[in-house]
Amino acid sequence: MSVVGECIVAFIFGSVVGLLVQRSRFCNTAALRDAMLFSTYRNTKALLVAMMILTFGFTLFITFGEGKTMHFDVGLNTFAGLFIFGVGMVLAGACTVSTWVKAGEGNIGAVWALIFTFVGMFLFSLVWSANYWPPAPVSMTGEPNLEALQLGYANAATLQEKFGIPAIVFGLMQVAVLYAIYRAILRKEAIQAGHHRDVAKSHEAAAAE
Amino acid sequence: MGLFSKKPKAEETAASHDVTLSDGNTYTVVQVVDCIGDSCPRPQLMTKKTVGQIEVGQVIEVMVDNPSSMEAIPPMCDEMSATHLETVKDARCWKIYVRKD
Repeated sequence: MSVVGECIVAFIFGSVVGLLVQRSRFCNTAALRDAMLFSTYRNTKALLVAMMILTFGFTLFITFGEGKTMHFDVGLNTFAGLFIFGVGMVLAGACTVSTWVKAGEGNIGAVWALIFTFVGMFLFSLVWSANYWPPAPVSMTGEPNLEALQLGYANAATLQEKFGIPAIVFGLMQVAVLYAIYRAILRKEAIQAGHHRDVAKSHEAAAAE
Repeated sequence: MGLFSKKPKAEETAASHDVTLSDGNTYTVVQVVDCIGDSCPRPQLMTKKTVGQIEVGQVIEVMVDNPSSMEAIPPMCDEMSATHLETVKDARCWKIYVRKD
């Protein structure tokens, strides 16, 4: 596909995702924040379902697909970066996805968050080789060096390559774990609702006396 | 709102008033939580705080113009031991009525 074709496809898919995210009010930040702050799991359930579908589809493509699967270099820098991002996203009130949506809806705070996302990304790009761990010269040799990049055998693609076990097996294992978490959330919600009913009943009984 | 202006007041407590909802019942609103212009998760936090302060059986009105918060407040009610009575669409905000149980 030509570069222009790729750009058009990316634009169409990006627009569709943007529309879905805006209309569904899906929010990654709320999925994690509300679970911790308010013990409500509305977005968390949506996130888990999305993760289940993604894991299944992603590992299916690794096993049978011939397209370009994305490779993410995972190192200690990833853990540090994710932690900083998590703190930042709660302070900014949204992750990058919702920030774009809110900025499009005219939220000035989101526009500021977006501007400083660009500033932050630019500043981090200046020290990229310095903060990259494992050190960039060791891992970025121009040859595939999966052990250095992935802290050992870290993902389904590597495991499939090394041991011949199809990636979909690991994908299904992960889907099962995610489904178990989903079920646990449903159970917890049922307990919360039951507790609320009991409290309401006891107050009603006290009022009737 | 200007780019650099500060929001004058986040929360305002109005005098109590009566409201008739679509279930036909009239409820006395003891406190109005004004969250207009506030983004997530402030309206949820303000609602949780106010529900913690009122007496059992009392009703509060939350004014919110943030769609995500409007949708997030009703599912919070079980956890707060409160009941979501109704969400009413007003001219420039939603009014959410919550009763503490």
